[in-house]
Amino acid sequence: MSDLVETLRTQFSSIFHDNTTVIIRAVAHDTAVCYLPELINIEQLNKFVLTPLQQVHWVPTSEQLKRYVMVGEVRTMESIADAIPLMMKGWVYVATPHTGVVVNIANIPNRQIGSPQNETTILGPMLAFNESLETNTALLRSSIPNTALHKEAFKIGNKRNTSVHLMYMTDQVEESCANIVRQRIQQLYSNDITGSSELMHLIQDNDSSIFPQMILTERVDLASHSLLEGKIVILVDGSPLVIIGPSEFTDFFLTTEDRYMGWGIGTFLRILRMLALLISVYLTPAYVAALTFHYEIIPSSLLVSLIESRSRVPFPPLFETLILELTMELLREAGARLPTKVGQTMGIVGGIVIGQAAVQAGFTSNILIMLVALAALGSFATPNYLMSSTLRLIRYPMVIFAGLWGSIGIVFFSVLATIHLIRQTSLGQPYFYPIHPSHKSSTLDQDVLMPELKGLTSTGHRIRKYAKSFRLSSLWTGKIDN
Amino acid sequence: MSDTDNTTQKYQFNAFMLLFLLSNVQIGVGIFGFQRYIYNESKHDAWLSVILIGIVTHLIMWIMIATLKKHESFDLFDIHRSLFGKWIGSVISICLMIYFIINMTAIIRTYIEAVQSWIFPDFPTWLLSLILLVLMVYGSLGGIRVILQLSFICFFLILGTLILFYYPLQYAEWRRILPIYNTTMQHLLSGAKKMGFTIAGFEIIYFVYHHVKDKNKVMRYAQGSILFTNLLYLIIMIISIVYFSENQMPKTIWGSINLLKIIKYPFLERIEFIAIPFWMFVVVPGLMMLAWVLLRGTSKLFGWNQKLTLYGLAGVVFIASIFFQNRRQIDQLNDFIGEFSIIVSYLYPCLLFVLTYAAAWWRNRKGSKA
Repeated sequence: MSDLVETLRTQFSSIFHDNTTVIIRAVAHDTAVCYLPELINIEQLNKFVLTPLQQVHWVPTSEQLKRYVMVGEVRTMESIADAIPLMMKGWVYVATPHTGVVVNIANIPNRQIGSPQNETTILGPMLAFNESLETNTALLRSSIPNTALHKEAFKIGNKRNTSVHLMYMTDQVEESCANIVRQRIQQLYSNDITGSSELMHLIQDNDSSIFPQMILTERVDLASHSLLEGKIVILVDGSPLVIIGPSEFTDFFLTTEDRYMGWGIGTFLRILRMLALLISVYLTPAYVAALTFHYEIIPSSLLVSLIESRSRVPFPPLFETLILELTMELLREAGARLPTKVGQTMGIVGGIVIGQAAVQAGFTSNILIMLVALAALGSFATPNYLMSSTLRLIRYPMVIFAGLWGSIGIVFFSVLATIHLIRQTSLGQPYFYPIHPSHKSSTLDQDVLMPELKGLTSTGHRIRKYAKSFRLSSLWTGKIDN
Repeated sequence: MSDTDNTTQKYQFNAFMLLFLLSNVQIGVGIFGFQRYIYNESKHDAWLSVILIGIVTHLIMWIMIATLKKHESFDLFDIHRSLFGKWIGSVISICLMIYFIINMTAIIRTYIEAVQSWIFPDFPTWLLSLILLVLMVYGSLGGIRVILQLSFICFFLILGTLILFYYPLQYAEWRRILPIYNTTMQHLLSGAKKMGFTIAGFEIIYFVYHHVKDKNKVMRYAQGSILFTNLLYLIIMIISIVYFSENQMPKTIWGSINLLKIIKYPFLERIEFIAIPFWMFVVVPGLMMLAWVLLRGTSKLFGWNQKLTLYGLAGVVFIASIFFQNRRQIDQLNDFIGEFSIIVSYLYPCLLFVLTYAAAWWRNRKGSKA
């Protein structure tokens, strides 16, 4: 008996380089359990593994071990080397001189399921993903209890061996997209990743573009909704964010809440967000262009107050705007890095002290402060954090071009950005197609929510089409799709 | 042939996209100041000229599509080869390509002229030319789908601009349109001919037809696109006639821009400072379309590398565009192109149509004899 413990000890210590990491305990007749104490549930170990094994009075075979250990997941492992990756995840290795089994009684430290912290909504479910892959998969499975929901498991990385799950509805998904994702994930089996955002950058179509091509979300309802639309959801162990793809540019400006609000308010909010997009990108460049080159476009009554407020400012509009935009960015960045309590103070310091003082010191004009704040508000109205960061980023070249070439510069950069967006793809699917070249319904159609047609089916049930969308084509084909 | 077939498989699109594509190619920089040329010929009946050429355009479009149908899935370069043989066909194709290059230069130069005379008098010609060409090259690298999507955006931009023209209508003097038909047929026709230059460009149907997925619907959408363009020009022409006085009109070089000039909002006036730069959205896909045709032609005739040809083309157009110094030279260029475009867009399709049917008839007869 002590022989077995001794051999196990030497084997483990040669792998782990010490004697303390793995606990090796002899039980009953020629049997020993080995485990990493931090990762297992001690109570379950006592109750379902140690107690039953006490009754074994001979050298058990692996089949007998499996029968005695009262745990759901038990696997036969011939060698220690095979068992170690699982032991590192909280499994217990039950060894006999000839064979061994691993038993899953893992107790990986984990966070409770909470409510979404970053993508908050007022209406709708308050479920968010957490860091456990099992929990996240369970959340999606329970949200769509359907056999069509398909799951594929992958392992990525040499060292971390991260589990990645690919989920989609088999009856909805575009098979080519699923193939692309599968291929790309398999290609990077040796990359160690720490989270889903890293994986997203590794598998997206064009990583040199500053526009995010897939959505990262912590909201369960958004993920399950996307699954039902035929999208692919990628879950990564250890990351509370799931990847949704393929995504279109407009998807980044939609929230699930729009649908909970009803069609009127929902559509209004979507239009508002598009307006916010335009404001956040064009407002400050327009100021720079107008005050550097095109005084003519401002009516004289407005021009007077503009010039008055700018009269004490010694800088050209381009510099003035860049300084203020950078200050705004600094405030945002400092606010994000500071602890919450200090962060609030930061807002006051930034907003009131710097803003007020900058005007009084003759650094900037009142109107520009207002415009920069509006532009910032506009970018914060974008529901997707990555996209709103991108929008803030593309404002800088826009401002610089506006300062160089006025309105020509603004339009030059707009056309450039539009062409760039059109050229992008997301998992092989078009990314920014105002109108799809082969379907008559455009993506714009789906962005207009229409009141749902309520009716009765032949069995007398009230039908309510999920996500009823308005198709422009129905205006002339005369067909009402329901 | 087989490798081009593969590429076209990838880039096929539905016929309704023609609605946006054709109208976008037709509406380019010509819309800035087409009124004067027609008014000079047929005076206040200029709008009749617009209608006249519109009807002719519909007819020509019908002829073009009928020709293409006869040739199944050929584009114009293949048609040349099959009708005229390898050598003559290639020469005609090359002439056509030179015409397209000059056309690109004219578009760029006219746009630059508009920017320089309305917004930035000192904006360097080469810089603006470079800006447009950079956009053209970047867009063309993305293939025809970029052109299609951009032209869809333009369609709404053009519609939006059209709405702006309600403003000058407030100052309309409707009596100026009377008496109707106060000119001779000859003047009406020469006005129509001038207008033909403005709305030319629909000959690109010869090249994109090949890429349309549902070819039986091409006629419907191509004609729809022509109708849209015709209505747009008709509306602008009528507004111009009732807005400008008799003496003003012949002196107004940029008629449409002058119409926009008087628009005033409490926070914004001089809309043309916004409209002219934004017209880049309309100009760039037009350039890209011509570049696309040229690239297809050179790769088909000479087998040139498409990317390198694109850069070379941009270089040639760049040098050509800075060559033209003043308004008079640009006018001369436009006049030259105008004459030529009437031939390419209106007369040549008729010839092709006749030749195609004659060839088919000849082959039929030969076939029945044998």
